[in-house]
Amino acid sequence: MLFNSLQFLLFFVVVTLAYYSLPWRGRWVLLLLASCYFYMVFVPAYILILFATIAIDYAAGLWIEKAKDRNRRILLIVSLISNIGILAFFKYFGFFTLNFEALFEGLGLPNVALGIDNLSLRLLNTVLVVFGQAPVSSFRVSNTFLPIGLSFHTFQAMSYTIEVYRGTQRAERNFGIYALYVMFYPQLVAGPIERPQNVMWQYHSYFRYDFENVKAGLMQMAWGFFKKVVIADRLALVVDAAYNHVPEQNGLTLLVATLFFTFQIYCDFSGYSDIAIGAARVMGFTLMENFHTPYAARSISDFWRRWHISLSTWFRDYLYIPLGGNRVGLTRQFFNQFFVFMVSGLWHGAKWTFVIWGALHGLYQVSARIRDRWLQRNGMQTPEKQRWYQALQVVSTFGLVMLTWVFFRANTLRDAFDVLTGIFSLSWTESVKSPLNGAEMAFSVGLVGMMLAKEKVLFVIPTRNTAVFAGVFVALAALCYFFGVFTSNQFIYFQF
Amino acid sequence: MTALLIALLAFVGGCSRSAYVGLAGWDLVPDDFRYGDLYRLSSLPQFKQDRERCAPLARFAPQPPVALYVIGDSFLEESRTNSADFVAQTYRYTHWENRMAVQLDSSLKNILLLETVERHAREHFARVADNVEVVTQPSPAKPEVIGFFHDVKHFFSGKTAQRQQVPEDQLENLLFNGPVWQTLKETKARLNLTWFDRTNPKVALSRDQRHLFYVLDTDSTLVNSNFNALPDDEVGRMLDSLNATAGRYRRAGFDEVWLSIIPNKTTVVEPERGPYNRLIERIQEAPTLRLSVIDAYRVLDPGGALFYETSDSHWNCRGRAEWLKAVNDRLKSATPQP
Repeated sequence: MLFNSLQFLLFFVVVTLAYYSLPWRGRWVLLLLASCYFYMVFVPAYILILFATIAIDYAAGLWIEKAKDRNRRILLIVSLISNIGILAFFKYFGFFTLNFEALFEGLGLPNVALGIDNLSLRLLNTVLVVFGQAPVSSFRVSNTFLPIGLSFHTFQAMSYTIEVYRGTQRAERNFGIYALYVMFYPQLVAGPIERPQNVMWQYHSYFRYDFENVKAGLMQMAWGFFKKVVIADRLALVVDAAYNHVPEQNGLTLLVATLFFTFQIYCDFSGYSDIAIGAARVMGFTLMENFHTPYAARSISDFWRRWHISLSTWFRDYLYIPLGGNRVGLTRQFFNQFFVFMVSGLWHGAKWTFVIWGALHGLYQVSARIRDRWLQRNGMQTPEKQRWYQALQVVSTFGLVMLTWVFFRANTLRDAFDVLTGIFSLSWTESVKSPLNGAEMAFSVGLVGMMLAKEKVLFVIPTRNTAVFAGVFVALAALCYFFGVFTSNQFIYFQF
Repeated sequence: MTALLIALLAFVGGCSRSAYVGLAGWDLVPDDFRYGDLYRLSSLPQFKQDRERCAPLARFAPQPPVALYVIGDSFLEESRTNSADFVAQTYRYTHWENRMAVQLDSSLKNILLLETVERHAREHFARVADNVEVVTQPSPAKPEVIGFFHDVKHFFSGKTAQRQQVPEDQLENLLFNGPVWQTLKETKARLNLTWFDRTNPKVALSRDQRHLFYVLDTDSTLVNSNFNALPDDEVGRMLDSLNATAGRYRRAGFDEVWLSIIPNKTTVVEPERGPYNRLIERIQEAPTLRLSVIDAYRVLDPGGALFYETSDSHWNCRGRAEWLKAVNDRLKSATPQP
């Protein structure tokens, strides 16, 4: 179910009250059953895929721990292949089919392309029908058939088997607790992607009711809802109007829409993360923070230490470092860094726009390192401590990131290039075409400013004083109610 | 524990169809359409009006030997019209989304009426209608199946909307439809309209801000809109479906098959809003149409907004009475001569 729904709010109240009413041993059972229900509200049959991956990785974890030498590696590979295989089938099968078809058509072999298309469609439709989904007529209509949250819980499951293999995590004996590790409902569909060392012990623990935790959790949820329904979904009205009709827009409109999207995606995703982390905290669980004022970053590498932290650290620990990390030669490091960012782009979606988005970030990183090495070799230093230079770094990093969001949001590559062409050839005499009137545009800008100011001054809203907590919580709830845009917009990262 | 029980009751009441129907049976569920469908969406206080309860028009009228069967929509649903409004000895109604088995009485003149509002005409006439099944033995109407196991079956086999949107609407009505919440909703709607010139995306205001419409009717990019282009070949296909429907039911035993398309509120209140596709006229006046027409547009257009509810997309008692008069006059003239 969607976080921004009455059904979720009531579900959360019922589950939390039941959680604290139950004795310790009943709690994980309640959370697991609640998480199953939460997931099945989307498409019930897909829970079978989830259970399949849970069963495979649960068994793999136990066997890896018992096995010796080469067998441990083989078991790990089997577990990783099964996880990646399921993800690849539902997320990338259509994408790779279409690209292979294009390749064979380009090589003058249309019959081969048609054969690939027919075979792939037949295979996919067989699986879709098994799960009670309508068959598709063509990959060109839709090429992704993703069970919700698959990208997230697959990565979380993979981190478990890898950590067991590395010996840094003991294999979980309790199947139900392991299932809860994968399925814990606050983070099930869009993270944060947790590590077993951070959370597994928590599911074995007994958390007494703690009023301070409840206040802190509720406040974080309220702030998350505010960012999502008041800011993100309002900005989305302008962004969607522009990006869904790119050829009809002027450069200034595209620039404003891109600027708005930069904040929409932040408020949407960080809002979701706040709701997830806050909901967990109310019950005593501590999930990792996923964002830390990313638009205050002074470099692209700094940005990635602040944005979707759980994913960027996952790629660092499980892909970049195993590829050699910083231990290999410079050229190899650059290649690895670029490759990891491209894979990160592909993780976000089976479209070339996402791959280019990731590749741009990789290019930025590599370019920054080359620049730093050049400066170092020539004995030059940048005025890092100067405030004007720091401001310049923040603005330029923001600008570079904003340009990559064009590819992230655009529906097609063609649209992305048209947006960039429009932005770089804009005339300041143009007027912004927007579905919002002037007052609401100003309100939207004001909301973004308020949000940035709040995060600079008060990263966490204090909740010690109960009267202040109540006042701020009620104010946020009222703002969500009166100014929330409730057009059933699901969270952007639910599609990944 | 008390809080848990209350929350659980509210959650189950909202998410379970059978629980919701049960609560409605105990009058614990307010009628969320009591002020009209458009008010329900918009919560704009200037359009808040109690829905009229219309008097039956033909309760004491002589009943000619005519049986009227209707495939219709919400304009003719049980709460708006029933057998007391028609001069017919027999009256049966089914919605376009349901089916009805009927046993024809050859001693009566059996008439089938296809009624649709303009916005749904394209989908209703895209295929041959088969909602009415003529049988030789009567079968009792099947009541809606409700119950815990039915809810569970629907949860697993139903569409995503049944698991997400339906509970959302039910919860909204169950928990947030009292007088205090109505006031808050109206305040919110008024603020958003005054400051941001924005309403619920499912409704649209007339240019003079005095009337409320469905955005389905006004947004020319939507196929339901009377300002959405209607190609000639589509009109041809609709005529073919209508004629095939009429042929099918005449062969099944009906003496006549009639057609009535109720104009959208926008069509009669603000037709100049965009390039009108003239769906009603193009269907009703087509020389190839082989159904008799009850011309609802001719009946309702002269009254315009006066024949439609302020807070609803449907007709009011006056508009309804005008249309019923036209139907009843035709029913009387359709009486078989001795």
